[in-house]
Amino acid sequence: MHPNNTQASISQDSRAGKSSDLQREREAALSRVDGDLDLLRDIVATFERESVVMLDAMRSSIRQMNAKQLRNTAHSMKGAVGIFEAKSAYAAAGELEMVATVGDWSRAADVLQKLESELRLLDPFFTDIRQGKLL
Amino acid sequence: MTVLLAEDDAVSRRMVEGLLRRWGYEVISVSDGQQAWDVLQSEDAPRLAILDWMMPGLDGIEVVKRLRARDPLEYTYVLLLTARDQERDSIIGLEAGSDDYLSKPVSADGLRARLHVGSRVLRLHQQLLSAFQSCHFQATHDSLTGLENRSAISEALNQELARSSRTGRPMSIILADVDNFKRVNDDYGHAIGDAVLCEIAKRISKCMRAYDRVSRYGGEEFLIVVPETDALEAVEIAERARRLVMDSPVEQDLKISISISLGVATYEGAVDADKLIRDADQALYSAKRGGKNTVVLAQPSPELRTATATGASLQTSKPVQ
Repeated sequence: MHPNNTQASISQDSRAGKSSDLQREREAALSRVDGDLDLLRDIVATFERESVVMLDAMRSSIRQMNAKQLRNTAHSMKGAVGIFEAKSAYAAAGELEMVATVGDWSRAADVLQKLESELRLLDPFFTDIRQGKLL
Repeated sequence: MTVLLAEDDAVSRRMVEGLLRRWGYEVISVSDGQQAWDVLQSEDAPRLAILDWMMPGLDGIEVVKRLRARDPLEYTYVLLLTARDQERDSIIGLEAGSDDYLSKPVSADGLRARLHVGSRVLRLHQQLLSAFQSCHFQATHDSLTGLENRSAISEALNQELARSSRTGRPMSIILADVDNFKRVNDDYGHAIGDAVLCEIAKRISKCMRAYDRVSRYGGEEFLIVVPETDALEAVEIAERARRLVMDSPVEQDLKISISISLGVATYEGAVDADKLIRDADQALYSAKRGGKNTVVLAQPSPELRTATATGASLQTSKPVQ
């Protein structure tokens, strides 16, 4: 077998693996709301409104080094993204909660940035939900 | 069934609320612990509560602790929501008084299963409460007339005596006995005798105020506790009852007319329940001896009579015809 073929095969496997992970996450998110796509759509709308407020609050908490507010908001964000089975966003929110708990302000801004990136990755998922193209 | 949902995070709240409504529950949704506590203290508060652990103000644990400090007969099943998934935290939640816990993000299956458990426990609690209330009613009421029984009225009498002693206000008791009741049983049988007793109980009760306590004290004897009432007023109440029993036949088909005799005793300080009942009993005996169908006020004790010799209310110790 040509080495490039091997590489191509791994990439295809990786894409297929990611796609199947994504599919599993979407199925899990739908199952979490008892298969109710309307409810999931409603939750996404609520999340899109609330996440703006939560991110603003987290930025402000970091600026003011308000550990309690940052911990509480990161905690809420963690609970919210968990609904969508967004494991990386969930982990980033958890990390930010921990940063606030131990008062590690040197990492706070970076972790928040990571969280924001992870949240942006949810956009296609949310678009699919809005358009009813979940599965 | 109505469920209280207390969750400060709008996204999680929307999700749980949506699931609950999808499954047919009524939902009262609040966003902090204080609001949850206010709802739980209201009349007809939900008996099933889903509380988030971390909330601003009162947290879920504090709400549960307050709930459990209340009357255990009004049980609320509490499901604690938490993003914490360490075993130690769930133990803290259970120790604080929650019935179960569920880690966030909540899954539909996990929530549904726990709601079923909660509903089952609440149903059992309701059945137990109904059985308890039924047993309590049977233990404190006369099965024939539905009036309070001797043990319940004795307790009520002691409470009223203690209150009178505390407030210095008078209270009275009335002991009533059906005249010639044995003849009703002998002539018409016990079923008719029972019906006559029920009708008399009804008529006596009709003469009383909302806060008076009427009981069947023995076979054909009724003891009535009339709080905040002096001797003259008690005699008037007793006289009303006597007249109402005499008013018309107590058994319509057989046209049975009957009378009652009544003894009245008033607490004017320094007597116990037994002494008060003995006084009322003696007055009742005087009423019977004086020809029945009469109200007699008990003679006050010699000491009290001397002390209140000029008091108008204690001069009416002759039978009231």
